[in-house]
Amino acid sequence: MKKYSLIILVLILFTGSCKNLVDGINIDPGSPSDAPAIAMLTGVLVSNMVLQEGEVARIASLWSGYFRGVQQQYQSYQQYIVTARIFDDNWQRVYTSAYKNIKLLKDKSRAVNNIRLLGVAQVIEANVMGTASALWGDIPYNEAADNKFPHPSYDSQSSNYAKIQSLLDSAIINLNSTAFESFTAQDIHFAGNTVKWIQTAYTLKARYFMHTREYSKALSAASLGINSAANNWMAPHATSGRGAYNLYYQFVVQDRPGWMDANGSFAANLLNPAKTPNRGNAKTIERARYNFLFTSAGALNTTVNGFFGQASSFPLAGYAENLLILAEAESRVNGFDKGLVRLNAFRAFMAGGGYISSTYTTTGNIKYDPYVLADFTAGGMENLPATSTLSKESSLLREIMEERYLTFIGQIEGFNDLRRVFKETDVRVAVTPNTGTELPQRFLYPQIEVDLNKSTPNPIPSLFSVTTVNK
Amino acid sequence: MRKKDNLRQISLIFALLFLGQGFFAQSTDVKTVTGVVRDQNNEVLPGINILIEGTSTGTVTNLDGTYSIVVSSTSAYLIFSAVGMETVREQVGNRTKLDIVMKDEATALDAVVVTALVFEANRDEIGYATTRIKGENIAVSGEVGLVDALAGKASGVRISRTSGDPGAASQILIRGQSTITRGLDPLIILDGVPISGDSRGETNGGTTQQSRLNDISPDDIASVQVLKGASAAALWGTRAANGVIVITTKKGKANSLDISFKSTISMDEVSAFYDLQSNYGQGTNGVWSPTALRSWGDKIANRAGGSDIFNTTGASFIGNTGQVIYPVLTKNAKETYLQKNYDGVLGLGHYLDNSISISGGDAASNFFISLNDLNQKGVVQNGSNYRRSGFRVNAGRQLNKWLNISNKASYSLINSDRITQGVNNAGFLIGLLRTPSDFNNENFVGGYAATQGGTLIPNRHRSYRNHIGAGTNPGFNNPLWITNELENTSYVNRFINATEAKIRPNSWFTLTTRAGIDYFTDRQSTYFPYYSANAISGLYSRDEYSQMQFNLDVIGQAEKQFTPDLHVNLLMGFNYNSLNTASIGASSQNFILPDGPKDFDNATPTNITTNDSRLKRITNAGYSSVGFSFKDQLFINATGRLEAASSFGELSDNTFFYPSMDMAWQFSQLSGFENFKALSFGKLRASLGVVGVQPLSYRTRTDFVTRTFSDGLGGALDPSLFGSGSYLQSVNGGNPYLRPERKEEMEFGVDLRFLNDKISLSATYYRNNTEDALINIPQASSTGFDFLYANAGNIQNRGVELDFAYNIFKNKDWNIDWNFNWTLNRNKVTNLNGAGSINLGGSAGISSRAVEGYPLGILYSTPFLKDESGKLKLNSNGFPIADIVAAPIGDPNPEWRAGMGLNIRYKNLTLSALLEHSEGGVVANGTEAVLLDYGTSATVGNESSGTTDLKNYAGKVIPAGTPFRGNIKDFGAGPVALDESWYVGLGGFFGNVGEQFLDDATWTRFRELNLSYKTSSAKLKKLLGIGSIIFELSGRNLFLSSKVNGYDPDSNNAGAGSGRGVSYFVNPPTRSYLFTLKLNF
Repeated sequence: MKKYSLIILVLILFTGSCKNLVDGINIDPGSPSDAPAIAMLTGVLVSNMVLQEGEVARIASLWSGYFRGVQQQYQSYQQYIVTARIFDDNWQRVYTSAYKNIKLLKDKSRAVNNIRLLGVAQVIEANVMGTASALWGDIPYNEAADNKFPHPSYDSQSSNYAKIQSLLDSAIINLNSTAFESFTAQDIHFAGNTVKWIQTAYTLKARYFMHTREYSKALSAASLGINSAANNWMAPHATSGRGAYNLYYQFVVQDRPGWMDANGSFAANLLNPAKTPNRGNAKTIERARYNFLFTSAGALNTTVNGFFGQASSFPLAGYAENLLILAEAESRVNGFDKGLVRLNAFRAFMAGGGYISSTYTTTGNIKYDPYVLADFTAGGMENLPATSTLSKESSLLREIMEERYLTFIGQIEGFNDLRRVFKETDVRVAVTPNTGTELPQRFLYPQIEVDLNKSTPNPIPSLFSVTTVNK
Repeated sequence: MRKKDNLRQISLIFALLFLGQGFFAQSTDVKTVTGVVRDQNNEVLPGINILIEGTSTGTVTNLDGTYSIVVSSTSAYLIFSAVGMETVREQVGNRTKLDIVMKDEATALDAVVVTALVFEANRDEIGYATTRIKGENIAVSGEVGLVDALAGKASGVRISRTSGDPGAASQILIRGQSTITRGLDPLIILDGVPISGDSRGETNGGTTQQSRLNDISPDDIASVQVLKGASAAALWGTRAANGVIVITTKKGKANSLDISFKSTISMDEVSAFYDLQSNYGQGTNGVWSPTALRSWGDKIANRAGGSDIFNTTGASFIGNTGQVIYPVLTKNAKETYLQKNYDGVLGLGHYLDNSISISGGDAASNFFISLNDLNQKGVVQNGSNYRRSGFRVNAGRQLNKWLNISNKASYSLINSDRITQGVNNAGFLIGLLRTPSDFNNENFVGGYAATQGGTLIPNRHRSYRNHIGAGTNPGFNNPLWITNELENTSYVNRFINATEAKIRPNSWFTLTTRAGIDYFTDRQSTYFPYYSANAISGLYSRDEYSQMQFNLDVIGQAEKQFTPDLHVNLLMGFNYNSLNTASIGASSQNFILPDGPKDFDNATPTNITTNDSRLKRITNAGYSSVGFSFKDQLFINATGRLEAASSFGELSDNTFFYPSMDMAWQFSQLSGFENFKALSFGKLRASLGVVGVQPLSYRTRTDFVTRTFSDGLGGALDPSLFGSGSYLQSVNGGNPYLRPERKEEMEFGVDLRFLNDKISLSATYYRNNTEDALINIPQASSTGFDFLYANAGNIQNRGVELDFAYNIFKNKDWNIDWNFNWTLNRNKVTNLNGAGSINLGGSAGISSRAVEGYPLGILYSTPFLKDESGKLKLNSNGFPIADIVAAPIGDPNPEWRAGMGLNIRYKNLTLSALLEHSEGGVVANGTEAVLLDYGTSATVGNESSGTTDLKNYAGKVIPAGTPFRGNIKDFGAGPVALDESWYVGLGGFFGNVGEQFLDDATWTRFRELNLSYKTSSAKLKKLLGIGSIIFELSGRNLFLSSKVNGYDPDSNNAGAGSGRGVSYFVNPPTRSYLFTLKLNF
């Protein structure tokens, strides 16, 4: 009998193959499967900061005459030697860092009726998708980050801009809602201040109307946009830990020293009083702005109060941009006189120090006196020589474009401007290609999309293929 | 006869249940059998157990080796057994006197193989290919690690050493790569229980990691059995897809006491190094500059000579040798320092390996105790070492007639310090090979003063771009800084225990219970002081990892001789395996005290990041096998395993079945073959089986995580340092449908032996298909995920394995053995379900990938644009143009590989040699590609001048006859000048076009050469108590012949991972000379 029991026991062991021994233990004790909307907010805001301030901004800057890539991969980028693979990472910042979490955050905010939080998420979404639309042209939007679509289709650049405008309209309504649970601690930009968020939404609307060259709409949006430097939308940084440092500082000082500088770059030369020609004139001294941005040796200023300093906050959208949108749009829509008033408003702001750290605004280093009509007519200081055939309107616009160009040093908007007015040869900033005869007109679609998304255009447009809105 | 009835009934149950066969009765014929048992030397053997098979009746031989036993049937078999001796099974037949010669196990080893469950089997009776490597052949290799000692010794097994670093893991491939991302390490069974043999944390940059398989001292090993095919391994289910390596440690011999001592000293040297130029100095565009990144500076021969002119009125650096260094105003000196810089950090490595063992036993028990210590210093002169110390206690005892117990326990302590390498700005060779030839790396650390008499800042790091230590960032590390200042230590404590109890209540049934524990902790620390590349304000990290694997097997075995012609064995078992790992650690930067302690308190809280992870995985299974043998000629074995594991998805089937079957037919036993004397043995075999690979744990749902956003080639932002922290949805999609990978394999083979076994030949053809390969599928990010872990790939391997051995000559004094093995494997990724290409490793520019329709590991990079006929498209200057999307550019897998061994013994002198060859395949030389860009490669140290005007890459015309630095090449539109503009652009590594840097990976290497002399005499024994002394002289990797320059084409950036064929600043390979002394008491 003993022997039978043994056999039976072995048989039970065999056939039993105990599934219940292994059930329910495949859950990572270290990671939750969900998180509430408010707990996602900071992460979403930071994901957008990386997009606006990181590699995308650096590559755009190399191609805008702001900086020079001198070593390793950056030397190749400088020469427009890029491959689709290089853009994988940036694309991931757009979709899997930012956009998909924004979608989740929006759904969760709606579910708990935190409407103001929904509004904030919409503003971030507009900034993320607006940036991506500007750089890549047609991009997946309607079908993006949705389980139902394994091959998200590419929506046209113009329809995406339209969608972003209505998204911002909705954001402005939602930010005015009284339904919310406080997210002061999580909102690293404005600590829950909806006035500032709403102004930011208007400035972004104005920015994207500029992209699509809808100047009168841009003008009216900007009139409700950021109205003081105190309301600037900035990416905050701190010295507390490495992951809180300014990304330019991390790149230039810590991770890739020597890869990128501004020595002899078009923008640096334009500002540098030691170089000729530079844009200084009887009414303008740029030494403060130059010193704020660059060192005397032509490197990026990464010192404590420098633009690229360790804890220096980085502009996402601000009063300066808003003033310059008003200036350009006003000039284009309402003509010279009103445009000049707007430009002088910006110069007045700069004369008071503008966005320059007070460390550099010492007397003698800074001067932005108001311009007058005579400065823009032929022979005027902004329309030399005397034989110039450029109209006062164009010379004003050229001055505004140059002002915008310099104000956006290190930012993606500079690259967007260059491409937008590329065909307006009389007013555009005369940046020359780093190599060859063409300026890059877009970022490449990434290799991961080429490999895996069947909706990706085939072949992908080249670096020099103009996006729809700039055609 | 009641007992017999019982037996019959039980046998009947077995027969009905599993065999579907009838039951065959035995005839009876009672008689007494007597005889003498002797060993091979004709000495009588007392205490040998004798048992009538299928009964509990038995006896033991007397002191004079004689025995007497009553048997009841002429068809009965007698089983003669003793510890340390080969068991003999002999049919009584009509004889009444039966003398037996028993061989000790070492001699018998050749004919014995172990199965996946570590039961012994006769190699002539199994239906699959397997290779057994004896312990002495492993110990003789001179390799520190067990893995490398297996190299070249078996067909179908490919061992690739990834770097010359002490203790570095090697890639093990058995019959090609049959999984894409789930790790290639085979399952390691040590004394019957699975242990960890993998390497943790292999990456492209950082340091090479250790294989945990190397924790086992080669001197403790009795044999290693490599089970290559699925049918051989199917009883391990989801753990056996990469094959199984069954390691058996030594045990004591019956009735003896052996004490042996072994000491080996090894001298190691660098066996391949890059050719560098010393004609041009640091700088760009032909102009010397002390801060330039590259060596495209002035021609050193054109310098004025004499001493440099310094600015001694300003900043200065006081180096560690006491020398004061000032900035150079005018570079006059013609000295170059290639050799000096090399000698400063690379030289002779060495190790000392000592082991002592005591073993022995009596008729019923055995023991083996060993102590070992290996202390190795790498060829990198400082900061590269490996020390392994351990002990082992193996003991077993036959407690009574039905119970045998044994326990094998070992402990090892492994300490090592590793050198940074690979894709890593802190890497060793990056620092050394990029240093301009006119820069002296001496004085790597010292004090810097910005002005004369100014404050001295201590411990500044001086490197070629930071020549007076003025900057806090050195660019790349000075190699001396790496060896002297950086620490990358690992500290492993490992305890392995295997316990076995065998209950044998009667002659036909055995119940074996095995329990095993493999527990280890691994503390890895990294310390980069202030001013190190990648960590300007210091970096200290520590990771405390522990892993506990518990394994339990309960196995019942029954066997029965049903008729004289039919023998049946049956096995059923249950397996439970649990794996628990935990890792806790932290990393700190921005030290408060620059030279403060290695402690997390030396940083503020926000400068410390922590990691905390735990993992638990449980697998359990039931399995069974049934084997038949007919007329000792046809052998059929079938197995099945039904398995459930915690890592399977909730929505997939929860149990999986793994069947196998093998068949062996000894056709040489057919009556016709008796007259065919030349063929002494012939066997045909065939098998098929299914094995699997488990999914990773915790991948069945999408998690929310605290994540840091990395910024392309720059830094990162960490949301936990902003606001109140944040949880976001992971970029890795969860998958509730996960199921194991399944690998189906079939193989056919033939084993032949000729001329009384002097020649043996074994040939195998196999073909396997892996379905549902688990891949972390990259996702188009627009879908919202970067990766989805899923069963998505199909891979196929086909191959041929040949093993040939020839005992050329043998007499009392001479023995000459020659053996040869040859392997061919063809691999193809047949389906990736639209997953694009899967990155397996390499570097950003050239990676090794899985791409549908190509062999696994295919090299992938941006190619030059070509027209339909494959001709390069050229620009107006006559240079090629880079594409913007990447494509497959070359196959790193060899065409075939072969190993050849020779053993010559003359009296007490033995010479053995092992040669290995790998034919075909390509390797991408990323290192050289970078050195071209940096201008330090010898390829760009020369001057050329054209016979016609030449354009350079920038379009500049170099007139005919004008010398320029670089080379001339014709891409198809006439010759062009390859000068600085080409190499720092498209023609260098950072031009992203990888196809220019492919080398033929064919190599031949003299892996081992060993000469040993054994002396033993009664005099020695009497005087010193020494039974024998063995002296050995060995060489390892004495000679490497390949078509590449400067590195080992087998080296690999992806370490022991599945990526292959990219070499990028991997630490240099080594060659060793060893002397061994063995004393046996």
